[in-house]
Amino acid sequence: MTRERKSNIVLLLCLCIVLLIFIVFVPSYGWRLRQFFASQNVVSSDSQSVAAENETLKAQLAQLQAVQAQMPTSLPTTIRAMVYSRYPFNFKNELTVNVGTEQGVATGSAVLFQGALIGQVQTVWPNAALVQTIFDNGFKMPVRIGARGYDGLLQGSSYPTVGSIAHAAAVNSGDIVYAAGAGLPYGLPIGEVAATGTSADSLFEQASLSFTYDINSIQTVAIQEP
Amino acid sequence: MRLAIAILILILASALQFWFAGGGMFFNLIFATLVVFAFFFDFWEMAAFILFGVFVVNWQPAISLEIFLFALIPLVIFAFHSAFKFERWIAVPIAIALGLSIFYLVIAPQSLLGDSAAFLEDLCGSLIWGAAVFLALRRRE
Repeated sequence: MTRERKSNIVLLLCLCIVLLIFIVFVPSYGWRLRQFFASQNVVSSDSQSVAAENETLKAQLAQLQAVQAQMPTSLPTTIRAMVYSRYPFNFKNELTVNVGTEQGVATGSAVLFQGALIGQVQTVWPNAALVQTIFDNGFKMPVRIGARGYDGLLQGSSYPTVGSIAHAAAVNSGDIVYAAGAGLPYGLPIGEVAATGTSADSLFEQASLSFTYDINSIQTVAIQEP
Repeated sequence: MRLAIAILILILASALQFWFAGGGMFFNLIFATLVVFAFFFDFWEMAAFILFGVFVVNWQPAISLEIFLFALIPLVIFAFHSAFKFERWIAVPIAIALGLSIFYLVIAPQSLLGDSAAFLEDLCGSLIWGAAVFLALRRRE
C-alpha cells in the first residue's frame, strides 16, 4: 500500500468519524443543510392568513350552531416550534420539530398551523418531536362536518378525504371539517369540503378536502400543551 | 480529483432531491448516487459517502428502518461488485432498479403495489440521474 493511499484512508476514516459524531450527537446540522437545499416556497410565519382565519371562524361558527354546550371556553395554550426536517421519502408525511419533552410536548398533542390542525405528535425526544401529519397515509381521525356536525372519518393521504359519511348527511362544498377525535381539543378546524361523492362500496358518502396552506412550505407550527 | 467530483455530485444530488421534495416530487437521487458510487470507489470512500448521505437524509434524532436500508443497500451492492466484478454499464441500472425496489418492498410494499405510479416516477428519475452520474465518473477515469 502506497503512502498516499494510506494517508487517504486515514483522512476518510477521520471524515467518517466526524460524520458519525454529527449523525449521533448533532443531527440538527444535517436538518439545517436540508433546509438550505429546500429553501424555496417557504412560509416562515404561522400567524393566521385571511383564508386561514376565515376557516377558523367557520369552524367556530359550526361549533356554535351545532354543539353550543360542548364548545370550549378557550383555545388550548400552545408551544411554538420550528420545523427542523421532513420525512425524505414518499411513504409517509412526517415533520420533525425542535421542541420535545423538555419543552412540555407530549405524544398525541395536536399540531396546528395558522390555527388549523395539521397533525399529531407521534414520538417525542428531549429536544425534538416527530409529527404525523394529516397528509400521512396512516393518519385517521373522527371529524365533524359543517354547521350540522355530520360525523365522518378523516383518512390521511397526499389528498386527505373524509369517509364514512351517512348518505342522509347534506354535506356541501365549502363546509368546514373540524376535529372530533379523542385526546384533542374539540372543534379544531382541519379544512373545507372541496367536493363530495359516493364511496367505492356505495355504502357511504365521502368528501375531498381543500386547505389554506401547503404542507411542504410550513416552517413553524404551534403544539398544544398537554 | 475524482473524490472532489464525487463529493460535488453527492451535494448536487442532495440539493436536487430536497428541491424536488419541496415541490412534492420524490426522487431518491442520493440513494441512486450511492449505488453508482459502489461501482467506482473503495470501501472507505463508500463509507464516507454513505455516512454523508445518512447525515443529510435522516429526518429524526433516531435510527429507523429507512435509514438502515438506505445505508445497507449500497454497501451490499458494493460487496457484490467487489466479489463478482460485474460489467458496470449494465450492472449500474440493474442495481439502481433492484435497490430501489427492495427499498420500497421492505418499507412500504403497499406503496409499490397500490401506488405504482409514484414508484415508477421515482425509478425513472433515479435511473436518469444514475446514468448521468455514471457517465460523469467514467469520463474522469
